[in-house]
Amino acid sequence: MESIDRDDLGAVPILVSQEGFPGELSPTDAARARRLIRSSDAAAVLVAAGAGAFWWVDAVDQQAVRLVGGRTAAAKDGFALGTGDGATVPGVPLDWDLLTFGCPRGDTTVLLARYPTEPARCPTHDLPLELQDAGR
Amino acid sequence: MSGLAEGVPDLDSATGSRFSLVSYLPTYAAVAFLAVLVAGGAPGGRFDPARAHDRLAALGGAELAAVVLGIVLLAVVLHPLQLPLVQLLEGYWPGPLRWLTAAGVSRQRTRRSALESQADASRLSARQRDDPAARRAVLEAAWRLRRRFPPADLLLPTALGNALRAMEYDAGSAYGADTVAWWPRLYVVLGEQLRAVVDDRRDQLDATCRLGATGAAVAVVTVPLLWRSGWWLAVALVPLAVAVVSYRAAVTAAVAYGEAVRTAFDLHRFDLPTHLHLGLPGTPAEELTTNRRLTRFWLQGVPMSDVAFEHQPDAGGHDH
Repeated sequence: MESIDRDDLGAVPILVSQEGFPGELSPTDAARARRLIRSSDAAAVLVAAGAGAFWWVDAVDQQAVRLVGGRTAAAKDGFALGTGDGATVPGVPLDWDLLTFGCPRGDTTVLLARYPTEPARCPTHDLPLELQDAGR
Repeated sequence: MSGLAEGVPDLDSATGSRFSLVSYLPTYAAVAFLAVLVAGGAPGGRFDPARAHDRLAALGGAELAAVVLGIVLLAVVLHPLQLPLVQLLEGYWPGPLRWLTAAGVSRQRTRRSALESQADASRLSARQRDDPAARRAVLEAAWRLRRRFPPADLLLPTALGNALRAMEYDAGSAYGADTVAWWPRLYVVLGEQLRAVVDDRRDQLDATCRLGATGAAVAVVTVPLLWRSGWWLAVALVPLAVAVVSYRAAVTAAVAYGEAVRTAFDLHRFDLPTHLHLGLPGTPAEELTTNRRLTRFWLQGVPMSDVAFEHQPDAGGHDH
């Protein structure tokens, strides 16, 4: 049995069977499918026959097919559960050091882990401390 | 038994998504294994495989659906714990286990020293210097040293931790880029092909880590379950063997993942300044300076106030 990927269906119309035994293509469904082909640009129609069965119907032929694939919209767009996990490495930063701030007029130095929102001031000269090796 | 097998998705869909590979399948395997033991009479009585078969085969559709739903829920709940799990296997252990950390680091240091000495070409004798096999052995030791160990002062207590830390230490360091700070940004601008390679290797790393941890946990639970079952207690060795083999596979997967991350830095590091609308560096020295400043900006908030942006108008006349 031929397999058809849901993502490859494109503009192929899907016709849902409304009578007959589930899984089988009734003559009425086949006729409806061909009327649809004649009245549209479609080269074929996929008939959902129930019980998970599908039929590929074109102008002269018809055959049972297996519908496969069909990722969910979320998976298709790359947001399935776990998709973004690769964006984090499990370790901690290594190529960094404490920031050294010094007074431009003295030998006062302060070590900080993070650049402060409010610059620290030199207690002796009351000047804002400056980051050493700022251009590193 | 056949009923439980119905809970397994087909092979393509089972291995096609990261969630299935990393979370669902190991959880499913653990639950199925323990369910067989409990159905066979453990822990109250002696384990009987025939009884396990009969009881599991008699499960109805509703019961099976409930089991499968329970496994999926458990896998979803455990999925966000994957990163802490890898960190645990790496050797990021809490304070009370400081003694264990020190013992592990000491063992890793011994291994690293042995490899370092094998990689030291100055130790070759005059005769060995002309021996291609001896020269090749030095090169191979140097290759393994770089991929499996960071510098001695950055060692972690496990082989897995050191393989990953070796990558975190040197993937971007030659370019002034701290791997951990840069990776979340670099990852999203990787090309499709390289992203697929990185994702595949990360999946292998996480799947083997999860399988190893699950195997160890199941082995621990199996011992009291089969304590009264005589020789059946030896069945606990099965998940234990899975744990050991999986951990070794995780170390190998970590080395392979490290290769992919290093490749990403080599090939795509210039894509990041471009996306940030910064000018591309003209020389390796300029690149080093710019990348170090970006690293400090992202990690410590040091402003890059004197940087000029370069906006390239696209075909539609919009800046991007």
